[in-house]
Amino acid sequence: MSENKKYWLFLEPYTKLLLNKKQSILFNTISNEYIEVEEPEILNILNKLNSKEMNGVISIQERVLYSQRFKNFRKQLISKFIGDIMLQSWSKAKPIQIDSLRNVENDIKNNEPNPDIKEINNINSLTFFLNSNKEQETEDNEQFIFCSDNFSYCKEIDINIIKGLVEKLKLSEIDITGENIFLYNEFKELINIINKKPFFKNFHINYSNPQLNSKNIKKINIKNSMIIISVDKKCDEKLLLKTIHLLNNEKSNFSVLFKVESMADVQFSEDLIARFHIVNYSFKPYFNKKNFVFFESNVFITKDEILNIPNSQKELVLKNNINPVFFGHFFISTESYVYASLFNDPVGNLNKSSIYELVNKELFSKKSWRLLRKEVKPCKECIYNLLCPPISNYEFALKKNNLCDVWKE
Amino acid sequence: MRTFFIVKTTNNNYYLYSRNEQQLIIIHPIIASLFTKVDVEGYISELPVHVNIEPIGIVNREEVIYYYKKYKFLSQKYFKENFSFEKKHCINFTEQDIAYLFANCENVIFETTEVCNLNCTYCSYGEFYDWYSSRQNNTISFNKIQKFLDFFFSYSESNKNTSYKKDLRIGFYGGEPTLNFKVIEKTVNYINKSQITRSDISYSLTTNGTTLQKHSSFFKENNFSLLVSLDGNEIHNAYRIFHNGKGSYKDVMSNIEYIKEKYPNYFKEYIRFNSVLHNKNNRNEIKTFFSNNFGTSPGIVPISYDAVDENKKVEFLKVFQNEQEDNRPENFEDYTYIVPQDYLEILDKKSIERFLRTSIKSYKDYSDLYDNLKNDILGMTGTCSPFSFKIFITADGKILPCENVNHKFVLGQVSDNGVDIDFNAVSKLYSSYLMKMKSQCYNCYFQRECSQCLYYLDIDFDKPTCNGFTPNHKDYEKYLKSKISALEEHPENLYT
Repeated sequence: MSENKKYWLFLEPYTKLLLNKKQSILFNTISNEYIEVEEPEILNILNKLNSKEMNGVISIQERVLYSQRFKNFRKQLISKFIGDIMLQSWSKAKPIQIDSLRNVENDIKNNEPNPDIKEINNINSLTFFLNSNKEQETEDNEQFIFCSDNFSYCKEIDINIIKGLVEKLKLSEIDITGENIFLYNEFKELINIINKKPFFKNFHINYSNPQLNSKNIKKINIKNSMIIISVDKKCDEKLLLKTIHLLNNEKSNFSVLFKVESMADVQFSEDLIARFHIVNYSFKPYFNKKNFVFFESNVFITKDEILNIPNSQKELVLKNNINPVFFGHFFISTESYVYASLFNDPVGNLNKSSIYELVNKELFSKKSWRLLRKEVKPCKECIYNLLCPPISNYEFALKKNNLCDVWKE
Repeated sequence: MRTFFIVKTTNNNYYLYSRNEQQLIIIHPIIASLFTKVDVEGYISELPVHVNIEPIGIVNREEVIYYYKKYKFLSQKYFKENFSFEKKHCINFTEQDIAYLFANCENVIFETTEVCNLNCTYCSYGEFYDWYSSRQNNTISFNKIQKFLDFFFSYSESNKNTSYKKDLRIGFYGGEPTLNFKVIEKTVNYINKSQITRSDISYSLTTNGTTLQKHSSFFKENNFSLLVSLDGNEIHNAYRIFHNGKGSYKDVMSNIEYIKEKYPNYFKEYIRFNSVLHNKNNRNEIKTFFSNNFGTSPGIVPISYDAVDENKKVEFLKVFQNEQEDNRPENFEDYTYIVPQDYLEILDKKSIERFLRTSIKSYKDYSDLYDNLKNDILGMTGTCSPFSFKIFITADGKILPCENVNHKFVLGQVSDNGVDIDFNAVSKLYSSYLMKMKSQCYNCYFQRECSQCLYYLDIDFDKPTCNGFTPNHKDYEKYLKSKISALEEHPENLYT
């Protein structure tokens, strides 16, 4: 080994380098392999590598590269295709490693207005509450859309609000929900309007809805649609089976959403799925303020799980800039209030403000669409914050940002 | 068409560039050599204990096998998607597309007059050019401007405008626009009294500077951004003359100094300069002049080489100077290839920025992170889609896509009775132009990087020829090599 030999050391452009004062993670966004580093000398080198002046490539001497301290890191760097080293004598000048997918060109810097941002390009999907009792509208649906078996309501949404929005916006998806969507006075008109549109339509219905019959199912069996059946632990099995048979007979595209609050609820649901041969389903954990242990065991994630989440380059850029759970979506209440998250105050009201104004307002708030882990405690201190799933309604429900075992308070 | 390139720079560094992914990776010379093999698997299976790899020399078999695994890893992950030009670029515009672009346009420019009090030798409306005889000293009326603005605001204040509040710049052009100052004044007053809620309006004006002092208080009060044409010192301005042959330099400098002294903050913030490069000046001298006199740096452009009159080419060449190398082409036959040559060989900061912007992946805005939120209409060639960038109203009421195109490319007309514009006809016309270019564009390696405006081609012909058409992958490799080598030499440009 020649002490004079020098190498270029660089990370691959698909490697994400996460760095703080005490540790680092080098994450291969293609293979999901990673290296964890805590040794100060290597952290020092990574800090140098991370500086803009180095343009992604640093010079390193052979004696350092092949030292005992560096040996393990070097082996992992190479074997996991996370970086590489090359003799400097092969080339006449330092190569450059362009930081691909660097970031978003027209982003909102320092929360200042950016005329290049087209507000309407940022609204992707809407949820409409057709009918409700005002309090239940938000409370029942805060964590996720769930149709209760209440079926009584006192307010209805103005059809012109729906019509105006679906005409104006380029949506990819809408959700239709409420206490009983079939009893919405303008239901026929609504179906006429949305049936002409190419976006995906989700209809939310409680399994025990008394108006769930062949006639009404036919009305919502339109192109690009899905019926989402809400079920909880109070489920009447016979009635659920009847509903499933009905939907199957009408050849509906449907999915069953099981609201679960405990492992007993999960087992109950799994039993139903098996016995009734339910093909499309999802479990939605619900925080009832008494089941923290259930959440800790089944919703919280471990460090290993975080490191095994498949995070592509694009997803990391996404999470670094916006919150994909909330971004681009609004809830529209029966009284035309617009919410980005039902846990927060409304962004505004469509009777007073245009949708453009409300999109603009939400873009500049950091309450939902741009609520990032790297900006909230304790996640801002955590090396894994970019790898983690984005902040969701569960963090709001539990009043806790770190639903993990990494950062214990 | 080839989707990946192995690039060896002038500094002997190797890179892999993926056109699909628009990503660039440093690669080991062993990987580069594997890409040259017709049968990689066969080569690997027959590897001797030691292998000679250019330019690194003898390497052992284990090292080659490691890089073979990496080669496979990159191949499977980086070549996974076939690039489809059709998916990315729109060729069939609809009436709604054009109406959308119109409503969202951020630059409206009025040619207040064709008249100019100067007779600059190199003027793009002057003797050197085909359209010299078409200028008839027309002057626009305020009535026409008002009619257009009412029409335009009916769109930009509607739901077709997808911004909450967009920037809207109202510009004035000429001739010398200030020769019809009353119209400018009336337009500004009209707009200021209009109930415009969806746009933040600003004003701009391009001027030869001869009347600046006279109107300076108005410009200052209305925060006009002024672009003043000045080619440098008195010798540099030899071509900028009045009709009686007298030089304009002293008058212009006097006006500029007046504004600088009376409104120093306004001067600093709102006044910019544009210099034309020709045989009596050069880039360094121009920059030195502006730096010393105004503490600023001008935009520098060459004399336009489009639509030069064949009969004037000799005189033209005497005056013309190449933008990049401050050289002049040796013979006129080379002139038609200025564009592709410059494209491949320009290594200045601007071209490197363009390379980073067009050839290396980045996201335009938040909606770009979600493919299904994308609303952009991408046109083909480097041409701006109609009204996507600006709307230009000539002194005789023609509506054009910009002030730099031949007036025969009319998209509509403004008269004293109103605005006559058919978005459907515009969409069909524009789509027909793109269809003519399709066979070249779809087979050109510079699809993404293209800066060719189709209005500068013989687009009226059935088969217009694009001089920048690059079907040969070797030319694209040359382009990559030059740009990446330049970045290695000047890495400070990576983060401008």
